[in-house]
Amino acid sequence: MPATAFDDVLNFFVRKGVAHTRQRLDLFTNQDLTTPRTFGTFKDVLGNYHTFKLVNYPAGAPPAFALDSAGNWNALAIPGLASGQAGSNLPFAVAYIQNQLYFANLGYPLWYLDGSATVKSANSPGTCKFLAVNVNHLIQACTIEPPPNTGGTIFPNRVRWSASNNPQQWDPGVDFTAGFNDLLDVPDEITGLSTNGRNTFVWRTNGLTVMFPTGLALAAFDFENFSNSPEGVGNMFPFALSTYDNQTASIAADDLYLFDGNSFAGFGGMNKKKIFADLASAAGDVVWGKTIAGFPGIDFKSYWLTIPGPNITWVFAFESQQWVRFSSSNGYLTALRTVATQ
Amino acid sequence: MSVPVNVSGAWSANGGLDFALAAVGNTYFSNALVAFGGNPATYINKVKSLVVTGPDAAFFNGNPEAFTLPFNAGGARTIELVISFSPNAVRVFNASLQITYQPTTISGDQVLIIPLKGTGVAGGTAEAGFNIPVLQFPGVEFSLTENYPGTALSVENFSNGPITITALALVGGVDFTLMTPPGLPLTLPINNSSPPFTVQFNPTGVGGLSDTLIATLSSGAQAFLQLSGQGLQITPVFNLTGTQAKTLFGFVGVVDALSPENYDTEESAMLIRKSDWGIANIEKRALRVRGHYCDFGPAVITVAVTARRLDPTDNSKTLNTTVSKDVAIGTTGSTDGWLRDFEADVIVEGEIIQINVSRAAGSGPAWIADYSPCGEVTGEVIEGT
Repeated sequence: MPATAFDDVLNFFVRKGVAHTRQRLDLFTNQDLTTPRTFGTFKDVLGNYHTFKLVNYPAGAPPAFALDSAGNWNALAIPGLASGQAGSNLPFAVAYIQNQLYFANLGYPLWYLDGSATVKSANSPGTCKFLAVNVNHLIQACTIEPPPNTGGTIFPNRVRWSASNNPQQWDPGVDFTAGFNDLLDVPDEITGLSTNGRNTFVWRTNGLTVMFPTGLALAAFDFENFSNSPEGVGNMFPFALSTYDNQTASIAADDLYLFDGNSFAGFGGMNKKKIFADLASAAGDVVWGKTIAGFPGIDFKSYWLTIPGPNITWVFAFESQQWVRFSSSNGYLTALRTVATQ
Repeated sequence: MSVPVNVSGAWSANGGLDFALAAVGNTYFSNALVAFGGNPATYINKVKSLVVTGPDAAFFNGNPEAFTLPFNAGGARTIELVISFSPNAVRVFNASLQITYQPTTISGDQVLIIPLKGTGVAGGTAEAGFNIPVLQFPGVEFSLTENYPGTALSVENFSNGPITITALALVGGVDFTLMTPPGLPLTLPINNSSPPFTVQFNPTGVGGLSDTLIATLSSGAQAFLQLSGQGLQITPVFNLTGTQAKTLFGFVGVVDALSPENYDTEESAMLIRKSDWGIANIEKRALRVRGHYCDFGPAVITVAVTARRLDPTDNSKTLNTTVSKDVAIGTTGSTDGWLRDFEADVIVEGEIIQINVSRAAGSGPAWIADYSPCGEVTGEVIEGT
């Protein structure tokens, strides 16, 4: 069935030349009634798998839950979390390094999971909106230092990297392989991070800055702007940026793009106009995107762009190069990931 | 009932404290926290004595936190101990630290024995040394990595003339790694230091771990730096094997899981095609929609065809005529192949033809392999479009 066979496809997936109804969704345990923002699975230092969800949280409440083999979510304690401590309900940035799962959403400080019963501090000077990993440095971008609950200052153009091999050391005065850089020469602000190949790309509203490892301990990274004109291809929706393999999906002012570390390829196609119309009517929450490989046992590499307001998720299937739409009577999608459950 | 006693820092109660290689004539220090566990309301631990015993006791000295023995540690009280090691010969030294204490709930004394060990090596040279006397890392989880948490290391020239460093190496090199060492041989003028370098601690085991960094000069003299750290073990909870996976969909207050092989979608679904069949400005009559589907079981699809033309009396409006038909597809337990035909007779006339294949929520799996609208041309467009 060619990509032009239908003009609008809702709750059908186009795969292997066939349009089939999408797979059924059934209720999964969510006994705490929280709203998940991120799911994931990571392997701890001892080889155990852990599945977590990070959720919207009221001030002073824990945001991290772990799934047990019985299918129940268990809140992970946070030593020192003060009652009423300010947080955030933005989507989470997550990064996996050294068998630990680091997360932040511009609310609570940068924390990490290691498979134990408690959430631990990454000793970061603040919190951040975006995370990435490059040559064993954990990288933050768009930071609040110190965290909001202690009266922090927002640095929308700051990129900060940890010491080499030590994502819990951020002070260059203690370990000179750590550092930070404020991108003050660009006309916009940071809207995402992606590591494609050897470089980390700092996405901005209207451009891109490449952050490349130098191999020098005293200056671990150097920065060059792909473009610093007031207008250009960047990422306009911070949480819509999604990297799978070496390919990053983004939304610029004129199209949706796939970036492979060297060049951009538009993929809005014939649905671009309708997608941008939906983006223009987004309301109530943030637009976000996620690329997935498929479902257990079923390949369906696809980019899922959720737009609250219209409460629709546009799904781009890479194999058929076709957009379809996903909807649910539950409302708009807030998180999506294949995780270990046993 | 036993009273738990935990030793933290660069030692462990089981493995003891190993000073590794230590230069004869120098003194090395290591400290640890000893925690006497228990409920403060139940256990009051009276620490009676801390004694270094054994054949080489004279070369190890305990320097406990300032308190007078015996003292009541109290439940969960932690004390800090500092042990020094001063070898006087090139050989292995062994002793043990005995801590005698009495819990109130147990009759008689309890004794905690911490083995002490050190290896004396040829005395460090007076010509050169490291910029710090010892390097002690904080506890690091097993198999993780920690950089040296302080200023960078360097080798310094203490002599009255230039020296040449010919080797810089760790004795063990198992739990510690030398990072960015300077190129060798390296000649240092008077009062100069080598370029900075670091050491990483990446414990391969649990407990107190140590190593020695040795700088060898062209004269054959050596300078020593003792390294120590504590390998920690996480206590994992909610462990999964990773053998089963689900794709989770999150919504406000809800988590759903996708059933990969169940195509009976709980929501309504549809496919829409608007077309003039590639023949502009010509009226058409749609007669039927034919197609093929893959049989995954019984389902009902609705084939609707809408014909559109401009309202001849008001060109700002369109006139739509829709004819739809429910088509039952799929069989249960079929054994004669699974690619089947479907056909819906839907007769309607207009210029723009819209085909809508829909399926009500929960009305079975629909796999549409292809479709083909059938019809005929009926003449010029009425009033134009």
